[in-house]
Amino acid sequence: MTPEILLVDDDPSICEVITEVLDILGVHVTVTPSGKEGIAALNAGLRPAVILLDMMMPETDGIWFCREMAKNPKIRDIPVIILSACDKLESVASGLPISGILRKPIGIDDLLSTVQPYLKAAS
Amino acid sequence: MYDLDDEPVNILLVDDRPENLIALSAILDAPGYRLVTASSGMDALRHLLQEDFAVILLDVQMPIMNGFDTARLIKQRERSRAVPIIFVTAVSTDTSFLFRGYEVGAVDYIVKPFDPSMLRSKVSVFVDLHRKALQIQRQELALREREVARVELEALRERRALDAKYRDLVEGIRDGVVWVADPETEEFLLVSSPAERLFGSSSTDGPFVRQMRGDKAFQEARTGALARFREGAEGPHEFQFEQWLRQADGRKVCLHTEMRLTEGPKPSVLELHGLSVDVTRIKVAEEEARKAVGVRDEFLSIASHELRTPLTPLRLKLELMHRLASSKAATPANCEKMGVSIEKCLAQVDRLTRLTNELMDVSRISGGKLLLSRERVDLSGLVRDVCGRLAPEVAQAGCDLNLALSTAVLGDWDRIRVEQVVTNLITNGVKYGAGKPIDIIVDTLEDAAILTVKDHGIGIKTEDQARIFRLYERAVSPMNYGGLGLGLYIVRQIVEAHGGTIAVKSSPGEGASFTVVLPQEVAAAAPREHAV
Repeated sequence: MTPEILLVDDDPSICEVITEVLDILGVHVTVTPSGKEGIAALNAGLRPAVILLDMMMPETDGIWFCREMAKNPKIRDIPVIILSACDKLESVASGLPISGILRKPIGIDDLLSTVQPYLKAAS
Repeated sequence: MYDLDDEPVNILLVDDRPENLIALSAILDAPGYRLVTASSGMDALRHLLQEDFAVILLDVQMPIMNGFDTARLIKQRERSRAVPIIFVTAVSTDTSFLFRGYEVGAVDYIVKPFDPSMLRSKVSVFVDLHRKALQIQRQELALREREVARVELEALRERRALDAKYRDLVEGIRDGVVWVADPETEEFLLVSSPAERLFGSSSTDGPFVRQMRGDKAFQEARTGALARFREGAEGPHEFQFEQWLRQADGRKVCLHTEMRLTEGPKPSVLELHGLSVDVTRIKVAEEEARKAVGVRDEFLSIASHELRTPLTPLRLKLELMHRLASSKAATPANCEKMGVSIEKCLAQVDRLTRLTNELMDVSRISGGKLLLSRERVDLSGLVRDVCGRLAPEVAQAGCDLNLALSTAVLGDWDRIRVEQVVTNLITNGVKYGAGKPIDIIVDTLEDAAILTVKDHGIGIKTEDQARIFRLYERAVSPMNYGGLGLGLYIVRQIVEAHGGTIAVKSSPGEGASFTVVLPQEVAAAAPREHAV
């Protein structure tokens, strides 16, 4: 089965290039441009190895996404990695059930080494 | 004037024989003389203890204590040492007897039986001397009293001058109230006149004093100062505190008070001396500066986020290209892939350039260096060009642009700056338009061009509508929407530099409509080279 990653980010240029990079690992990337659509995909049965989540998005941002995930026992344990350029990320993300942080601008090696353990665990 | 001659002088007559005393009294009896008789040396000394005498007529031959012994004792006493003594004797007039008399302090001799006129004459000389001495003594006393009075008057004048100087100094402090209070009773003894300006009254029981008494900081300082003083702690017992009191017109005033517990005019009486300075303007400026620093810090945080965001795709694309180049697989497919990647990188570079240009524009506007280079411009054509350039971005957001452009809306404008206005308003509409259509209308009204950009997105609350045109201000959380918060500020500055106006109409959830009015001719607007 092809491993799967959910990428929640409203910036199309970032989504495109991350998809291209993860293609190196043969990973299938599902992209949703908002937290609301990301939760909808999970509720519809998507079970990614890891979720890459942007914090700053219109209306339904990363914090909203994490809180919604926590409400649903079927999806609450899926690991979440935050992607952000925010310099106050620690205070913004404190208390959220997240597995890691990737600080923008991200490099290929950082991205791959961060997601690989989750992909292995899922396979 | 009081005459010393009217004042009786005391004359002491000392003889153990009453008939002699009677005889002496009879001879010397005269107005102005008060004759005091003593029948022995001891009796004479008793009188001398009680009164002062102008002259003493002293009998030499007396039982128990003769005249010489009596004279010696009289001369030993400070008070009676200077009183002249005339010995009265019937015994001898030989030289050794006379010398003995002079040795013990006699000034003269008179031998019995004496000539009455000579006796009166001699006594009269000493009475005159006594009166003169008395007069000199009294004149000296009067002079001394006058000197004391002069010195006291001088000191009083100096004190009054000093008081006036301090009063001038105290009243000269226009931004502060000088006050003196009793620390025990909290009774205020002095309140300087600026209390009148600040609190409507400088009464020692007025609104300033009432608010002071009820102020927690004042009470803590007062009780603290008293406690320290009673514990015997070494002074100075000084306190500083700030307090917000209410002025006569209801506004609040911030006072910085410096207070000292000190001894008053009497050593045992304590006083509180205070100076309460109006620091409201400083406090307000501090608060504004604090807010400005907060806004600046938030802007720097947002700016760093916005500048970092395009770097992610740029870096990832460059790293991918680097891998592709290192793989030595220079196939036509890979070359094509790299070409596409380079285009994407350039797009991110453009994004970064736009952000840095915005920052540069703010810097230029702040420094008054935004110069307009006016030329003949067709606003409808310009809007059409900008829409064409933004088409990919608009399409990506899922929006449609509905254009209603009048033909040939011409004006003297700075083409690049007006393009910036149109670009910022449309990208703003795309960003907050929730993927719904954006209406763009260009028309004229009298001598002005009217540009309207209307979206149907999230809208702007009424209270935020003026704020969004200010530097660093935004109506939405930076957590939800990116951008530096500079776009509308720059738009307004450019429009106003052209002599135009910008306004917004909006309700939350019903979109926003921005209307720009640009005068078409320079004469109706600003000079050709306009510095903001």
